[in-house]
Amino acid sequence: MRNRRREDLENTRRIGSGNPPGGGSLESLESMRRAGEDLLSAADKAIQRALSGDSEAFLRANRQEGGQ
Amino acid sequence: MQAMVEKRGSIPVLPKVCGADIELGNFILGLPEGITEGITGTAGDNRSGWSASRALLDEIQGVLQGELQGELNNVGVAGVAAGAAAGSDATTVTDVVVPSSSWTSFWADTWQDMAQADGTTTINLQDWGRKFLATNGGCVYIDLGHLELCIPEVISAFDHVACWHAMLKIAGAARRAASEGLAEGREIKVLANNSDGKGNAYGSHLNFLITRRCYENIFRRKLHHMLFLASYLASSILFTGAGKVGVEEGAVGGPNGNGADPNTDYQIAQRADFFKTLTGPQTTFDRPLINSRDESHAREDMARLHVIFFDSTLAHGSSLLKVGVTQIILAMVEQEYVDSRLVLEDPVRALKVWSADPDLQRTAPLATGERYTALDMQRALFDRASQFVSRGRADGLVPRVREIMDLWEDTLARLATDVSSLAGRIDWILKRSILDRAAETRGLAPGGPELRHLDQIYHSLDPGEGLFWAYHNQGIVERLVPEERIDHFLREPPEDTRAYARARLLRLGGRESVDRVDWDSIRFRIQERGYWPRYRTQELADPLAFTREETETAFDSSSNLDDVLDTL
Repeated sequence: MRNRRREDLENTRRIGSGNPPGGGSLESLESMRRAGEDLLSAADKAIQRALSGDSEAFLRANRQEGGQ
Repeated sequence: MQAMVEKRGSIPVLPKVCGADIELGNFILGLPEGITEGITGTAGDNRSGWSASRALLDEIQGVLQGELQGELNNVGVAGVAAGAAAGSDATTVTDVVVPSSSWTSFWADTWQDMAQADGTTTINLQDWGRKFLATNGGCVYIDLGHLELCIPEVISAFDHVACWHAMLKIAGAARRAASEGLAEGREIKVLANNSDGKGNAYGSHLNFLITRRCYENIFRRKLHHMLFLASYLASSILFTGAGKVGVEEGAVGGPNGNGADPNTDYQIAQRADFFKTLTGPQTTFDRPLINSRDESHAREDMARLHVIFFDSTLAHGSSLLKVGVTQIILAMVEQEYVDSRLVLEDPVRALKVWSADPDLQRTAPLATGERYTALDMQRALFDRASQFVSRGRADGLVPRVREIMDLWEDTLARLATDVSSLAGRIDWILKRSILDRAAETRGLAPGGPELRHLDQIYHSLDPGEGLFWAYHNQGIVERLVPEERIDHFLREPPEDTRAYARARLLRLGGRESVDRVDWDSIRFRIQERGYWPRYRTQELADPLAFTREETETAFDSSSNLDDVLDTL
């Protein structure tokens, strides 16, 4: 009843040999790298939002219990 | 139902089933200063993790494990009572979080239960309120004030990534719902990270199915297997690290000091500071690289390797490589395909040295006397793994193994030539890029509060706040599993492990009939016309059995619990 070779699970995209996944090709990663400024600017608004708050207050509140 | 254990030559092998138990950072922002929380808090220590985690747990639907069912059913609101005065009008979290005075002081009762004169405790602070999910077969609970997410058993690393992100969506929805119940100006924050930056770490544990023979080899008979594994883990931070500003516990001095510069601005791994020993069963102190906890939740010839080493990663690439490459390495160890030359002289120290070197230049000694960078070690491991895989020895054990190898190879090549091109794949590199840009454009001081704040919220599950999601949601980071697959695991279990039958049985039995549920069994309480109920237990001792293929017909043929149990 069991098929141990489950090389193809549905709905997940196969990564082509030699090609990194995500954009599907080496070119996609290269273009990502070349677009460095655009990429890094993507979080600018989120950074601005965070830093418009009180970082010290955030850091006082985030103290956690030591866990596992 | 029981899977046959395959042999490669004379060595038994098992598909590398993977589960996970992952603690989240959680707290309430907006509380007055000087607040004290019950349970373990001390006066005015500003912790709110127990309250936050309880509020989150309340928002997640599931079937309680069993022991606390009656107690939990009588508790309505989240909150924490008790605690010493803290020089503030509002001295406990309860005073300010829960406006009503009618709520049940659950935590006060619990705290008193704990503090009995004989020193005994009546609850387990590391496993409280566990609920199993009838949707995907995973579970959630509270562990030392952290909401803990347990991912259902999967075989494919790709499915692990999808299930992990599904569980993050569940936690994110709970965060939104729980925050709505708080007073204005207060908000529950949930962070998928592993350290608060103040010396408190919490775990992101992966669990892998191995044969009992493999376990015995690692821990009792062939200790070079343990060292080989430790050397892999220490160097794996190159793709599994989530990145961190600064150095915490054990930075300098002492036999277990990490030898790193305490002024280190940025580390690759969040947890490196907290590992002190090579092996041991403990998880909350002197943490070991190779955890020896022997709790299989499975048949006697199966064992579970409890890997407490890794960081919580958000990037698909980091998460996929973390699970997929570890599956390959464990398949190698299981088949004794270990190269005893690839053993670090001191894996714990090497981890700390490499973690504090995001420029990837520092070396650590091998037992042979050679010195390797982390990348040298990974390349050597990759070469060894390539031979193993090319001979077909991972086939049937690690799904889509060649795709994982391709991704691993490409990642190592880029680490050698163009680290920045991996910002869309690896968390520590993306985070470092973000922090560098913020520091440069805004003139932020290294190690200052602003950068430490950004470090934390990189991991926030609030999509409007979390820096990772700012990239992910714009499609800038690599997606290795489609959103549809993630959403599938919001509703459905993995189909190729016992998680499938667990979820179906939980749906069939419901809260009324499930008396107790754990990973490897479910006991049902069947109430009929008489006063006394009947009990039936379904064992699920084989993680590889009770799959959709094996059980779907039984579930679809009847809606009667007895009938289904008879068939299974």
